[in-house]
Amino acid sequence: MTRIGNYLWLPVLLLLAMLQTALFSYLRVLGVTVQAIVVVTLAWALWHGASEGLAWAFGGGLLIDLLSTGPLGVSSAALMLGVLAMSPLLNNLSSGRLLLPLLLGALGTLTFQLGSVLFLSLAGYAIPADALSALAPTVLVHTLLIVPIFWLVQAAERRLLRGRRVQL
Amino acid sequence: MNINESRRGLRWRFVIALFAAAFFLLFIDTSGQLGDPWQLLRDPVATLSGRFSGLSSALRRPADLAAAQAEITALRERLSVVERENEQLRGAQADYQRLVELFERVAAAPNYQRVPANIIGWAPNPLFRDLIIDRGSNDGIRVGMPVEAARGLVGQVYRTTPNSAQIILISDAQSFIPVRLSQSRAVGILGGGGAGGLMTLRWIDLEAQVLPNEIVVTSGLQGQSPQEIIANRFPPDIIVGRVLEVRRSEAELFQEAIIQPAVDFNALETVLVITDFTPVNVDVFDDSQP
Repeated sequence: MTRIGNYLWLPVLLLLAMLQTALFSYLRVLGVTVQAIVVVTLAWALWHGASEGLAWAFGGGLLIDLLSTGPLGVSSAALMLGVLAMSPLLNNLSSGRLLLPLLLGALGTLTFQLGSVLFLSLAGYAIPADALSALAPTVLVHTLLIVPIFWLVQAAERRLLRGRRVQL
Repeated sequence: MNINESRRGLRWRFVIALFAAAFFLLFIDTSGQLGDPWQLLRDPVATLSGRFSGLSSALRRPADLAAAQAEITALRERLSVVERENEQLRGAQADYQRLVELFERVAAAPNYQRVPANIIGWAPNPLFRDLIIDRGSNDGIRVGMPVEAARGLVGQVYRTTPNSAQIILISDAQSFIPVRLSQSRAVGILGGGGAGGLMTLRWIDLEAQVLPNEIVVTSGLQGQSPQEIIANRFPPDIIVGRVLEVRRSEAELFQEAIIQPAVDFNALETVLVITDFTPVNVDVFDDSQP
């Protein structure tokens, strides 16, 4: 994991988990609840690669499961699956492109959603009737959010690192 | 930091270790072996979530209210003051109305002991319909206790920490509760997870004349094993919802109905946890009894 990722992952994911339960769960875009932890984790994986994305996915998934009545580990496994689905194309990503981040964001979100349903079914949990009908708008909304967050993470980190070099 | 270095290759041992850890947690959680350490972790996370709960109230206010207030302020300062006072009074009236409804609910069944609780958050996973309240085991909340609001049944306590509890809503796909139809008196099992937050009432006797708009209440029936008693720990005659549609086929042994919940879960702010009530005595059905 990169040095910045070492410091950031826990406070960022904790803050997102708090905001998710208290704020984002009330926000509905196209009838879909935005899952901030999922969006930020996939955006982080886009920028920092699969290894670091997997670590974020594991931690973020645990926080999602800790704050819901689902079994522990399901969201971790599904989110890691989402990052893994993106990983073959991550090396071809450059900061200026738009289409590839969009495509990878959609792929990661879709894999996460399907993985959640699959792992919950395997664990013997009932799946809501509208889980699959909500798939398309969920993927659309999350994909549209992942790209600007990906650019934001890039820009913030470049600025942060440039400032650090000047100090040294 | 070298981004390219982190992207160079995937360490498959690391990937396998993470997946193994996730599946190990999943296994021990579903087999009920996950112990106190995770409860200790849940408590501060849920308690911290409560610190942010005020943020959601700002979101739930009508968006045009602030703009309307700003316009009034610019036009006449005097009117602005009156508007603000009026708004405060309306807020107080809404609070009063909510408390009166809760009080009436408590007065309607005074033999139950209840603990009021504020909702401090919703589960971050949309596949689960559950919420977090600001009362936990320190306040006498225990797993399985029923939770109601002024308009009807909300759900059941699923998990507790010292200062918070997770409530599984009756509309959750994992929720199944014994209910009775108020007019036909037929009983059935109400399950959540339907499209659009609706619920399905199954196992209704085919001979029962179920009609749309019929009210559904808890039956109060319980099983006899400890697991059944915890899972079905609902007092009788709490309003659950109303019948939207009846699905009846002569080819089936039972009929089913689509039920709309009585409570608007998205508008909930305060709930009552029923901490004690006298359960229905089902010993008469036990063959071993004289």
